[in-house]
Amino acid sequence: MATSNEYLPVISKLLARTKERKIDWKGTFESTTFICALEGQYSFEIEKGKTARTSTPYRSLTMKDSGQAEVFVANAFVPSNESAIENDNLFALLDELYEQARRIALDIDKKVNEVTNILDKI
Amino acid sequence: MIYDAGLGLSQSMFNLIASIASIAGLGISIWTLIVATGARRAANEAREAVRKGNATEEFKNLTRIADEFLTHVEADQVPAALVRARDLMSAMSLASSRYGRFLTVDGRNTFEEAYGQISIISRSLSANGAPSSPQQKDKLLKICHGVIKDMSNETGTLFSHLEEPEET
Repeated sequence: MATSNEYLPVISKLLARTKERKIDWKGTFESTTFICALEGQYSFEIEKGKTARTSTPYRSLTMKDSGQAEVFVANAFVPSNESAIENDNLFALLDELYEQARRIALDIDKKVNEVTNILDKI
Repeated sequence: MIYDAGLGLSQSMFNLIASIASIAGLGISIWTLIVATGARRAANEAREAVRKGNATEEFKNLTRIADEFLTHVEADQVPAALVRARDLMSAMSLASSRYGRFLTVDGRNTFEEAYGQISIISRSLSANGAPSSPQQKDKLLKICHGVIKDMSNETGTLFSHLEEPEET
Protein backbone atom coordinates (compact mmCIF):
# COMPACT_ATOMS: atom_id res chain seq x y z
CA MET A 1 0.00 0.00 0.00
CA ALA A 2 1.42 3.35 -1.05
CA THR A 3 1.70 6.09 1.54
CA SER A 4 0.94 9.77 0.97
CA ASN A 5 4.65 10.58 1.23
CA GLU A 6 5.27 8.73 -2.03
CA TYR A 7 3.30 11.45 -3.76
CA LEU A 8 5.16 14.36 -2.15
CA PRO A 9 7.17 15.11 -5.34
CA VAL A 10 3.97 15.37 -7.41
CA ILE A 11 2.27 17.49 -4.75
CA SER A 12 5.33 19.76 -4.49
CA LYS A 13 5.36 20.23 -8.27
CA LEU A 14 1.63 20.94 -8.29
CA LEU A 15 2.19 23.57 -5.60
CA ALA A 16 5.10 25.13 -7.52
CA ARG A 17 3.06 25.37 -10.76
CA THR A 18 0.09 26.73 -8.81
CA LYS A 19 2.31 29.42 -7.28
CA GLU A 20 3.48 30.31 -10.80
CA ARG A 21 -0.21 30.76 -11.70
CA LYS A 22 0.03 28.10 -14.38
CA ILE A 23 -2.86 26.08 -13.01
CA ASP A 24 -6.42 27.27 -13.22
CA TRP A 25 -8.14 26.20 -10.00
CA LYS A 26 -11.93 26.53 -9.87
CA GLY A 27 -14.35 26.92 -6.97
CA THR A 28 -17.08 24.36 -6.37
CA PHE A 29 -20.45 24.14 -4.61
CA GLU A 30 -18.53 23.22 -1.45
CA SER A 31 -16.85 26.48 -0.48
CA THR A 32 -13.83 24.63 0.95
CA THR A 33 -13.18 22.43 -2.09
CA PHE A 34 -11.35 23.48 -5.27
CA ILE A 35 -10.71 21.55 -8.47
CA CYS A 36 -8.46 21.76 -11.51
CA ALA A 37 -7.85 19.67 -14.64
CA LEU A 38 -4.53 19.08 -16.37
CA GLU A 39 -4.19 18.51 -20.11
CA GLY A 40 -7.65 16.94 -20.16
CA GLN A 41 -6.18 13.81 -18.63
CA TYR A 42 -5.93 14.29 -14.89
CA SER A 43 -7.80 16.28 -12.29
CA PHE A 44 -7.09 17.31 -8.71
CA GLU A 45 -9.45 18.14 -5.88
CA ILE A 46 -8.12 19.92 -2.78
CA GLU A 47 -10.33 20.05 0.27
CA LYS A 48 -10.21 21.62 3.71
CA GLY A 49 -12.42 20.01 6.31
CA LYS A 50 -12.93 18.66 9.79
CA THR A 51 -13.48 15.05 10.79
CA ALA A 52 -17.07 14.27 11.74
CA ARG A 53 -16.27 12.63 15.09
CA THR A 54 -13.44 14.68 16.60
CA SER A 55 -13.65 17.87 14.51
CA THR A 56 -9.94 17.55 13.76
CA PRO A 57 -9.03 19.84 10.84
CA TYR A 58 -7.57 18.09 7.81
CA ARG A 59 -6.47 18.79 4.24
CA SER A 60 -7.10 16.29 1.48
CA LEU A 61 -5.85 16.12 -2.09
CA THR A 62 -7.36 13.65 -4.58
CA MET A 63 -5.89 12.94 -8.00
CA LYS A 64 -8.09 11.29 -10.63
CA ASP A 65 -7.38 10.04 -14.13
CA SER A 66 -9.48 10.68 -17.24
CA GLY A 67 -11.68 7.68 -16.38
CA GLN A 68 -12.34 9.37 -13.01
CA ALA A 69 -10.55 6.59 -11.14
CA GLU A 70 -8.72 7.81 -8.03
CA VAL A 71 -4.98 7.72 -8.65
CA PHE A 72 -4.20 8.73 -5.07
CA VAL A 73 -5.69 10.47 -2.07
CA ALA A 74 -3.32 12.33 0.27
CA ASN A 75 -4.79 13.19 3.67
CA ALA A 76 -3.09 15.05 6.50
CA PHE A 77 -4.38 16.21 9.87
CA VAL A 78 -3.49 19.43 11.63
CA PRO A 79 -0.17 18.85 13.46
CA SER A 80 -0.33 18.01 17.12
CA ASN A 81 2.08 16.78 19.81
CA GLU A 82 1.33 13.19 18.89
CA SER A 83 1.26 13.53 15.11
CA ALA A 84 3.98 11.99 12.95
CA ILE A 85 6.51 14.22 11.21
CA GLU A 86 5.37 12.80 7.83
CA ASN A 87 1.83 13.96 8.57
CA ASP A 88 3.05 17.40 9.64
CA ASN A 89 5.15 17.87 6.48
CA LEU A 90 2.29 16.75 4.26
CA PHE A 91 -0.15 19.00 6.11
CA ALA A 92 2.09 22.03 5.56
CA LEU A 93 2.30 21.25 1.85
CA LEU A 94 -1.42 20.61 1.41
CA ASP A 95 -2.36 23.64 3.47
CA GLU A 96 -0.22 25.91 1.29
CA LEU A 97 -1.65 24.29 -1.84
CA TYR A 98 -5.17 24.82 -0.52
CA GLU A 99 -4.51 28.51 0.17
CA GLN A 100 -2.94 29.04 -3.26
CA ALA A 101 -5.81 27.21 -4.99
CA ARG A 102 -8.32 29.32 -3.07
CA ARG A 103 -6.53 32.53 -4.07
CA ILE A 104 -6.69 31.56 -7.74
CA ALA A 105 -10.24 30.18 -7.74
CA LEU A 106 -11.72 33.16 -5.90
CA ASP A 107 -9.46 35.72 -7.63
CA ILE A 108 -8.36 36.95 -4.20
CA ASP A 109 -5.37 39.00 -5.44
CA LYS A 110 -7.55 41.04 -7.82
CA LYS A 111 -10.20 41.61 -5.15
CA VAL A 112 -7.61 42.71 -2.58
CA ASN A 113 -6.09 45.13 -5.11
CA GLU A 114 -9.51 46.55 -5.92
CA VAL A 115 -10.42 47.06 -2.28
CA THR A 116 -7.00 48.64 -1.68
CA ASN A 117 -7.69 51.11 -4.50
CA ILE A 118 -11.12 51.86 -3.10
CA LEU A 119 -9.66 52.44 0.37
CA ASP A 120 -7.03 54.75 -1.12
CA LYS A 121 -9.73 56.86 -2.73
CA ILE A 122 -12.05 57.30 0.27
CA MET B 1 17.83 -24.04 -91.48
CA ILE B 2 14.10 -23.61 -92.06
CA TYR B 3 13.47 -25.53 -88.87
CA ASP B 4 15.93 -23.30 -86.93
CA ALA B 5 14.35 -20.13 -88.38
CA GLY B 6 10.87 -21.39 -87.42
CA LEU B 7 12.10 -22.24 -83.94
CA GLY B 8 13.73 -18.79 -83.56
CA LEU B 9 10.51 -17.06 -84.72
CA SER B 10 8.31 -19.01 -82.35
CA GLN B 11 10.76 -18.33 -79.48
CA SER B 12 10.66 -14.60 -80.29
CA MET B 13 6.86 -14.74 -80.37
CA PHE B 14 6.89 -16.60 -77.08
CA ASN B 15 9.21 -13.98 -75.55
CA LEU B 16 7.00 -11.19 -76.87
CA ILE B 17 3.86 -12.80 -75.47
CA ALA B 18 5.66 -13.43 -72.15
CA SER B 19 6.77 -9.77 -72.00
CA ILE B 20 3.25 -8.54 -72.80
CA ALA B 21 1.82 -10.90 -70.19
CA SER B 22 4.29 -9.75 -67.56
CA ILE B 23 3.59 -6.09 -68.32
CA ALA B 24 -0.16 -6.81 -68.21
CA GLY B 25 0.35 -8.68 -64.94
CA LEU B 26 2.20 -5.74 -63.47
CA GLY B 27 -0.56 -3.42 -64.66
CA ILE B 28 -3.23 -5.61 -63.08
CA SER B 29 -1.24 -5.77 -59.83
CA ILE B 30 -0.92 -1.97 -59.72
CA TRP B 31 -4.62 -1.57 -60.53
CA THR B 32 -5.54 -4.09 -57.82
CA LEU B 33 -3.33 -2.23 -55.35
CA ILE B 34 -4.94 1.09 -56.22
CA VAL B 35 -8.45 -0.37 -55.90
CA ALA B 36 -7.55 -2.08 -52.60
CA THR B 37 -6.01 1.11 -51.19
CA GLY B 38 -9.07 3.10 -52.25
CA ALA B 39 -11.39 0.50 -50.73
CA ARG B 40 -9.41 0.51 -47.48
CA ARG B 41 -9.49 4.31 -47.38
CA ALA B 42 -13.23 4.29 -48.08
CA ALA B 43 -13.76 1.70 -45.33
CA ASN B 44 -11.68 3.80 -42.86
CA GLU B 45 -13.59 6.94 -43.80
CA ALA B 46 -16.92 5.12 -43.33
CA ARG B 47 -15.78 3.79 -39.95
CA GLU B 48 -14.61 7.27 -38.88
CA ALA B 49 -17.93 8.79 -40.02
CA VAL B 50 -19.81 6.24 -37.88
CA ARG B 51 -17.54 7.07 -34.90
CA LYS B 52 -18.16 10.79 -35.36
CA GLY B 53 -21.90 10.16 -35.58
CA ASN B 54 -21.78 8.11 -32.38
CA ALA B 55 -19.70 10.81 -30.65
CA THR B 56 -22.25 13.46 -31.66
CA GLU B 57 -25.11 11.36 -30.26
CA GLU B 58 -23.16 10.62 -27.07
CA PHE B 59 -22.44 14.30 -26.38
CA LYS B 60 -26.03 15.30 -27.25
CA ASN B 61 -27.13 12.72 -24.68
CA LEU B 62 -24.85 14.33 -22.06
CA THR B 63 -26.46 17.72 -22.57
CA ARG B 64 -29.93 16.14 -22.30
CA ILE B 65 -29.09 14.39 -18.98
CA ALA B 66 -27.46 17.59 -17.66
CA ASP B 67 -30.66 19.52 -18.45
CA GLU B 68 -32.73 16.92 -16.59
CA PHE B 69 -30.34 17.10 -13.63
CA LEU B 70 -30.75 20.89 -13.53
CA THR B 71 -34.55 20.58 -13.68
CA HIS B 72 -34.54 18.29 -10.61
CA VAL B 73 -32.10 20.57 -8.73
CA GLU B 74 -34.29 23.60 -9.46
CA ALA B 75 -37.33 21.74 -8.09
CA ASP B 76 -35.42 20.52 -4.97
CA GLN B 77 -36.09 16.92 -6.07
CA VAL B 78 -32.97 15.54 -4.42
CA PRO B 79 -33.43 11.77 -5.02
CA ALA B 80 -34.18 12.34 -8.74
CA ALA B 81 -31.30 14.83 -9.01
CA LEU B 82 -28.93 12.26 -7.45
CA VAL B 83 -30.01 9.60 -9.96
CA ARG B 84 -29.47 12.00 -12.88
CA ALA B 85 -26.12 13.13 -11.42
CA ARG B 86 -25.00 9.50 -11.32
CA ASP B 87 -26.24 8.95 -14.90
CA LEU B 88 -24.48 12.11 -16.02
CA MET B 89 -21.16 11.19 -14.40
CA SER B 90 -21.32 7.71 -15.85
CA ALA B 91 -22.14 9.03 -19.35
CA MET B 92 -19.41 11.70 -19.08
CA SER B 93 -16.83 9.16 -18.08
CA LEU B 94 -17.82 6.89 -20.99
CA ALA B 95 -17.95 9.72 -23.54
CA SER B 96 -14.64 11.12 -22.36
CA SER B 97 -12.82 7.78 -22.62
CA ARG B 98 -14.41 6.77 -25.96
CA TYR B 99 -14.53 10.08 -27.77
CA GLY B 100 -12.10 12.29 -25.84
CA ARG B 101 -9.81 12.35 -28.88
CA PHE B 102 -12.38 14.45 -30.74
CA LEU B 103 -12.12 17.14 -28.03
CA THR B 104 -9.40 19.78 -27.68
CA VAL B 105 -7.24 19.84 -24.53
CA ASP B 106 -9.37 22.73 -23.24
CA GLY B 107 -12.49 20.73 -24.06
CA ARG B 108 -11.24 17.73 -22.14
CA ASN B 109 -10.32 20.00 -19.20
CA THR B 110 -13.84 21.44 -19.26
CA PHE B 111 -15.38 17.97 -19.10
CA GLU B 112 -12.96 16.87 -16.33
CA GLU B 113 -13.88 19.94 -14.27
CA ALA B 114 -17.60 19.51 -15.03
CA TYR B 115 -17.37 15.94 -13.78
CA GLY B 116 -15.69 17.19 -10.58
CA GLN B 117 -18.36 19.85 -10.05
CA ILE B 118 -21.24 17.38 -10.54
CA SER B 119 -19.52 14.88 -8.26
CA ILE B 120 -19.13 17.46 -5.46
CA ILE B 121 -22.76 18.66 -5.87
CA SER B 122 -23.95 15.06 -5.80
CA ARG B 123 -22.00 14.30 -2.61
CA SER B 124 -23.30 17.45 -0.95
CA LEU B 125 -26.94 16.77 -1.93
CA SER B 126 -26.57 13.21 -0.73
CA ALA B 127 -25.12 14.23 2.67
CA ASN B 128 -27.08 17.42 3.35
CA GLY B 129 -30.22 17.23 1.20
CA ALA B 130 -31.61 20.22 -0.66
CA PRO B 131 -29.92 23.61 -0.03
CA SER B 132 -31.09 25.02 3.29
CA SER B 133 -30.97 28.72 2.39
CA PRO B 134 -31.78 30.83 -0.69
CA GLN B 135 -28.08 31.79 -0.88
CA GLN B 136 -27.05 28.13 -1.00
CA LYS B 137 -29.66 27.40 -3.65
CA ASP B 138 -28.51 30.38 -5.66
CA LYS B 139 -24.90 29.20 -5.50
CA LEU B 140 -25.92 25.66 -6.46
CA LEU B 141 -27.93 26.84 -9.47
CA LYS B 142 -25.13 29.19 -10.58
CA ILE B 143 -22.66 26.30 -10.56
CA CYS B 144 -25.11 23.99 -12.37
CA HIS B 145 -25.80 26.65 -15.01
CA GLY B 146 -22.05 27.24 -15.40
CA VAL B 147 -21.36 23.53 -15.83
CA ILE B 148 -24.15 23.10 -18.39
CA LYS B 149 -23.08 26.23 -20.29
CA ASP B 150 -19.45 25.04 -20.45
CA MET B 151 -20.52 21.56 -21.55
CA SER B 152 -22.88 22.95 -24.20
CA ASN B 153 -20.15 25.26 -25.54
CA GLU B 154 -17.68 22.40 -25.81
CA THR B 155 -20.32 20.14 -27.39
CA GLY B 156 -21.10 22.90 -29.92
CA THR B 157 -17.40 23.29 -30.72
CA LEU B 158 -17.15 19.53 -31.13
CA PHE B 159 -20.15 19.42 -33.50
CA SER B 160 -18.79 22.20 -35.70
CA HIS B 161 -15.39 20.46 -35.75
CA LEU B 162 -16.98 17.12 -36.71
CA GLU B 163 -19.12 18.71 -39.41
CA GLU B 164 -16.12 20.37 -41.08
CA PRO B 165 -15.21 18.65 -44.35
CA GLU B 166 -11.91 16.83 -44.02
CA GLU B 167 -8.94 17.98 -46.07
CA THR B 168 -7.99 15.46 -48.73
